[in-house]
Amino acid sequence: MKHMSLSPGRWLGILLVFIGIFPFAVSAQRAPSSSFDDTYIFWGYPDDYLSYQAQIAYPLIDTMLQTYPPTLTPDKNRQLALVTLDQLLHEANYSRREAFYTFVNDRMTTMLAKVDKPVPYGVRVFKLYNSGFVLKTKDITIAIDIVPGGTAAKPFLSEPVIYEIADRCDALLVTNADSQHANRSVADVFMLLGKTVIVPDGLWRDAEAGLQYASAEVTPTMDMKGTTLYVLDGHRGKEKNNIYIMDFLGRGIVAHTGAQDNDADWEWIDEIHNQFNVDILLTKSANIRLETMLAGFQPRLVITSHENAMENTVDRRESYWTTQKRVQSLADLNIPNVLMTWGETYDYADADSKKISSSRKVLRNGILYIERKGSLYTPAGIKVK
Amino acid sequence: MKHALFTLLLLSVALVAPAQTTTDNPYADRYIYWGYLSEYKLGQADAAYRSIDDMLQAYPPQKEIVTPRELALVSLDAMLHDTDNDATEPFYAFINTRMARVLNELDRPVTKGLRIFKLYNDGFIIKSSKATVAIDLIPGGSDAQPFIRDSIIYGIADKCDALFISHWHPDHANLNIAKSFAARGKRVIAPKDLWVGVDPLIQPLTAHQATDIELPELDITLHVLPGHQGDIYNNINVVEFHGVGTVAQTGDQWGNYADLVWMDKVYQKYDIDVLMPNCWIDNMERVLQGFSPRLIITGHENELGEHSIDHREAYWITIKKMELLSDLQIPYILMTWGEWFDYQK
Repeated sequence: MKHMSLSPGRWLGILLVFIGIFPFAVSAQRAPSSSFDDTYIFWGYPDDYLSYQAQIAYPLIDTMLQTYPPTLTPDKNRQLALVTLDQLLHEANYSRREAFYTFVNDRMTTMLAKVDKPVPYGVRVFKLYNSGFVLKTKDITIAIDIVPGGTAAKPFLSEPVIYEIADRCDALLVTNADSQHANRSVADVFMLLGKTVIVPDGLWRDAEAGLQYASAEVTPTMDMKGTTLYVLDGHRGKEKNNIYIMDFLGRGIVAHTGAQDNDADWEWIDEIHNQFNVDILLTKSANIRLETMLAGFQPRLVITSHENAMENTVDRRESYWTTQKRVQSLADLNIPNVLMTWGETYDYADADSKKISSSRKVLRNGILYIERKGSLYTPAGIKVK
Repeated sequence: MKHALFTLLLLSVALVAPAQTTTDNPYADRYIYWGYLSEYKLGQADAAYRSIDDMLQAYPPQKEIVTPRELALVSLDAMLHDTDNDATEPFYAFINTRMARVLNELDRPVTKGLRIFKLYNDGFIIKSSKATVAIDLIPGGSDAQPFIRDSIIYGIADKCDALFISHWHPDHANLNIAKSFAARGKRVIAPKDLWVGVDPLIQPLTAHQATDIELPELDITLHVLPGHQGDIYNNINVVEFHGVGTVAQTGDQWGNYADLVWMDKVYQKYDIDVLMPNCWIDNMERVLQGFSPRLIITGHENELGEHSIDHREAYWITIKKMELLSDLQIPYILMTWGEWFDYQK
């Protein structure tokens, strides 16, 4: 075998060729996602196409949702945004789209600024991921079923966002042990910040020093900064599911049904409206017996939750369009509904001032007043006439 | 009466897509689809296409794309890039409802300028006060299951005076459509070697070279420019509506760099008002400079057919490409299937 010897010039040539080829070899191996901005030609790269499409679609959806916020009457602009969101969120590989994570966190950041604003009357409702809500009145801010979503390694709501939410709340209520409603890390942040954390009996035993356990049998009512919290004995299958009813002392009564799903409970739920005069019912959209739930609570307003739980299989990710159809099919109940998505806000005036919701602002001699049952109030709630 | 007929037509189109199909899903009436994914996707497609159609009607094509229209187009892209939605009833209902509107709108007279209709794929219809010409008009889909129903596509063909074909590919040329023109005594100008001897009124060019064809009965002159898609003959049809305006459609111009040399100088010979290039044409910037049109309306977005999703060119891609060319300062209008735009010099 003849040994190959190369002159220094040839070695230099090989080196130059290698240096010339190397960048191309590397670029062929790496994800080509950065190489489309000059051409927008995706031939041979369908996954990159979908990532780019998501990058275009999510900000547009966000803009539209901000321009057309939740209202009692569906708006066609908003409907398009929601159904497009459904389409994107029903992609099996949604988690490969970085734009999804940006979308969720950006919406939460925008929402936080609104949590900071004072609520002079009624209840301000913030919708978070899954069944998560924040309820704010003039006196108190309560979070319910806050979860980050996603995986521990890659959550939908980042740690700083969770911290900022917890920092703005007085308490966290957890309805049940399911991971789509209860998250220990979130509870830990609330406890770290010295906030009240109320959970069903038996949950997170190892942290009981910082928790308050609540159950219908032992603690049917609690007081939180003047708000009365009622705990009803709900179930998710055989597991406990606290249904919380919050009476914000004349500013509104709000019920959250968590993951309620137990046939034996319907008997008392059927009659619950005789016990509580509920303004807002926060209840999961995907409920085979949604009609029974609404008829039982007879709220003045229903805001559905749990749409697009991304941990579920695609067929079980309840979409906004199915919620809309489902609620429309129950129109005979005459219960108004507001369809909200992640990071949105809806202001609900208290039960005694229903008119405030519809025609509340009036100008008299250039001064803004609130009209309430024929009387005028200042925006701060002081009666002037 | 005409209005009533149109309403009836739209109603019949809408009935193509029942929101609920026969199912053994016990909770279909409650819109719960656990375990019934394909049924869910059909419902979602129905809801989405209806919403998109609503918004496209509310925000028709114009030179500045407003956000709701942009979202409608991007939403349509998302639907058309999800193969689960291919060949579904909601898709057929969507495209046929929109094409039925074109069929109706073709009856409305044009008193000034040109009315440009965008159809499926690279299909366009241009209507002046004296003539209505179609370019690359096809039903899409397959012969067994066309996208656009016969009653609509042949109804549209019936309202046109002539058909010009860019090249033989089935997403541009359809013999049955061409025959329907010929059967009504209307001329079809096709590229060299296509449909030779089929009908005297279907005229393949005898040579692939720049050719001028006068159609005095329509008061137009057709200038055929010898483009290519690779090695395939691809007529670039420049239609001069005398005294009204000139439009050019590039067919599938692509992959032939020799053509770019003569295309650089098209503007010296023709005063192009509206250029309708395929959205993925080679070297779009150079072509635009060569034709120097007053307005651009791209074609060929979202060709479904056999293309994988990476080559179903999306509307948002066209928006991005045109953003890259904004220095040319040529206005463009992004249209989708079943839309029209009135152009005046």
